[in-house]
Amino acid sequence: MPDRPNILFINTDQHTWDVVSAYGYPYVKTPNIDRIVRNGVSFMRSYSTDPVCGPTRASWMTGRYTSELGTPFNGGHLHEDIPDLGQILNSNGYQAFHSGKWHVDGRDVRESFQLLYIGNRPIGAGGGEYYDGAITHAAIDFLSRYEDSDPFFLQVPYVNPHDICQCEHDHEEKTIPDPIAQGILSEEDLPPLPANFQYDERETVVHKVARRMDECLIHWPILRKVRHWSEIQWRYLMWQHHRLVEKVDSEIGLLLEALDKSQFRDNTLIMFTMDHGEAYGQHQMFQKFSLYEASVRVPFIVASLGDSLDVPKDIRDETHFVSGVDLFPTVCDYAGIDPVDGVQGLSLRPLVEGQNPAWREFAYIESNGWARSLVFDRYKYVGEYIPFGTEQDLDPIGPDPDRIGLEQIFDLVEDPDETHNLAYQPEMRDMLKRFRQSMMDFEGRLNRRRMTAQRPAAQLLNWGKQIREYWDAHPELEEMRIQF
Amino acid sequence: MNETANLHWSFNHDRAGQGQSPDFAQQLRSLVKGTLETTASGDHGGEVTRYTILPNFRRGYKGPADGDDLSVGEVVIRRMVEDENRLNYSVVYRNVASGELMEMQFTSNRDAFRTLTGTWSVQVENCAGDGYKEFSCDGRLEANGSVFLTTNGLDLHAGSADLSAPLTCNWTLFDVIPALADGLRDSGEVQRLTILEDLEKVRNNGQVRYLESYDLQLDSDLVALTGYALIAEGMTPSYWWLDAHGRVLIATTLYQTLIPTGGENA
Repeated sequence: MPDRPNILFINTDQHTWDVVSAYGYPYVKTPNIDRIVRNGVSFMRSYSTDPVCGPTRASWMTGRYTSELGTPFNGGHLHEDIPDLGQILNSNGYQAFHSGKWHVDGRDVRESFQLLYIGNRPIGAGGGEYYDGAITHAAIDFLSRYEDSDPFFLQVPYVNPHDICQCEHDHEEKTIPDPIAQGILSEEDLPPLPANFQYDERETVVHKVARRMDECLIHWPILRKVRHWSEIQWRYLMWQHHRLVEKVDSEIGLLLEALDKSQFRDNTLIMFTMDHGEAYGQHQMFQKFSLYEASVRVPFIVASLGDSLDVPKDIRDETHFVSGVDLFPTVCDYAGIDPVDGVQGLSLRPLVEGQNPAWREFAYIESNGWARSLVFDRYKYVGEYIPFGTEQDLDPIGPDPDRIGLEQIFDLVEDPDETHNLAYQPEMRDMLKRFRQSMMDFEGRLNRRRMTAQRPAAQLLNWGKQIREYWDAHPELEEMRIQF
Repeated sequence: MNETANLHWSFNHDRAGQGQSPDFAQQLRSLVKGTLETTASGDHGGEVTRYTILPNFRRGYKGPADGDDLSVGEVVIRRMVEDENRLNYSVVYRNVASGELMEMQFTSNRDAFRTLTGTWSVQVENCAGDGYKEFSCDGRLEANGSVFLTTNGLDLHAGSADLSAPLTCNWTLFDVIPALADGLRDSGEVQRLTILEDLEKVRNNGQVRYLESYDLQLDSDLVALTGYALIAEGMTPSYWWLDAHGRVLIATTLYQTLIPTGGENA
């Protein structure tokens, strides 16, 4: 095995975790992502650190959680002094290249990577229709021309299927007939409505304020329309998402072919993941910004097209919890770079190579500033902190057992669709106490600091104020807080 | 959305929440009006047509600082008669958001489907200030439907085309849909197509069908349009609106709306 392999990091955007043919999903054709699956280890219990584009990407690039980075939402600014993966690789004998979406707010990609492509009008939150082809062109051009003796790290973050957001925005101000009314599809063409379309409404206040209520914090213009959607409209949203997955899959196909036919086939490690999912009707949600599996779960694959790297073929790891923070230390491990201070993630390399290292007990996820989730082997805990509604919200949020708001527990074995909140069942009290303690212990080890960048701070204060106002306006919620 | 826009839902991208300035509806109407003043053509052999690209969403367009023109690019389609059976196409696609200037050269049969034949080439310049400057490839179709692209000595398998349906480049649809239009409208049937998008990506199970008719209001006049919808694997629906002369007057995908801005004989 080469001491320092090249690394190709590919990711898709807003790609629901199981919408991959190789994982058995029948309503999409992904022959090229399947090829990655066949050539490596799929970590099936892998999670986004914070299910939004910017926060996830900040975690990928630093190996830390978003509450440590100043990036709890899109537009948060990555703290200037935290090194990123490109900088670390470039100073340790690798050449780091980027072709695609960046979206690490507060850091110029050019400070950290040799920029192959980001667009004339830099890629933001859409436009996969015309950006993704260019991303592929740039990456193929690179693979066919690179001659330097240094190993390379090439990251290729695609935009699609994120363009599904525009299918949703498109409904904000106009009425679009469903595809059967249009006459372009029959009901048989559409995937079935998600099994968890109906959901348990005992959710966190953060979730209600951010995603459910009138004038909610995130995408209210879409919500007010989709509330009136028929089942066919939801199924049509799924159908469109799946076509966009196929669209980006074909880009990945060309990229893999270029790698396969290049001189780098045998000494290049492929890492593939998604930044977060798309709910398309699960829990009657759309997009991401929630802690349900459709939003937070993503596969993470380590693969190699050749046979000279120590990567087994077509393996599914259903046991180990993987997080977006693991990309950084995994890349560093393969690159022979010593662990970097402050990094929270774990290298997946020992797992890929069949070793049995000590591993984490749960995946930890943050969302919308105040919401949290811990995914254990069987149960999933979702909780929240209650904002102050004052300047104090700029200080690190948690750990603080006295400010825990509403909670959810799901049994992922009996209820993988997360439709029954068990948190209020008396027999779950001991479990709940243990989950809370795990969260407090874990968060006590994070390196959080006060939010200082002006615009993100203003947004955080605004959100905190509105969430707090909801609590104040609904005193009955206090009785729903579980006290010990 | 501007309530007065009164555009068909498939190309009404005059939106409030992510509204654009300059105004989408005004620009669309202005462009369509200009086109209607030009003469229609029949066969399209030996003809050049130009289409401007309007962005459907504010992504990709930065606003008034870019001037009064909402356009984010242009497509130029040239057809040259090779012989009585074949047409040579040259398509130039320029997108100022992506920065790419693509030039695609290919040959089709002179049939209604503009069935792709022979080999083809794609040359791309990246006009953004990135490290990637250019890309080029030569393409070929094998008898079993396998599509290959050769670039810088790498021979890439780009997918397998379903040859039980006619294989055509997406940029010939400006000719193919008008050729099929009356039959699809009158019969209500679906035409299957296999599409090679940008001569690089295979889109199987394409289906084009009649959608509906619609009268577009231009000042005090109503312009009769006939709509068609296209779906395929790897493609969200696109909508194609033809005028009374059988020209594609408006073609809209998820992100882009193309409107002819003129043409000339080659």
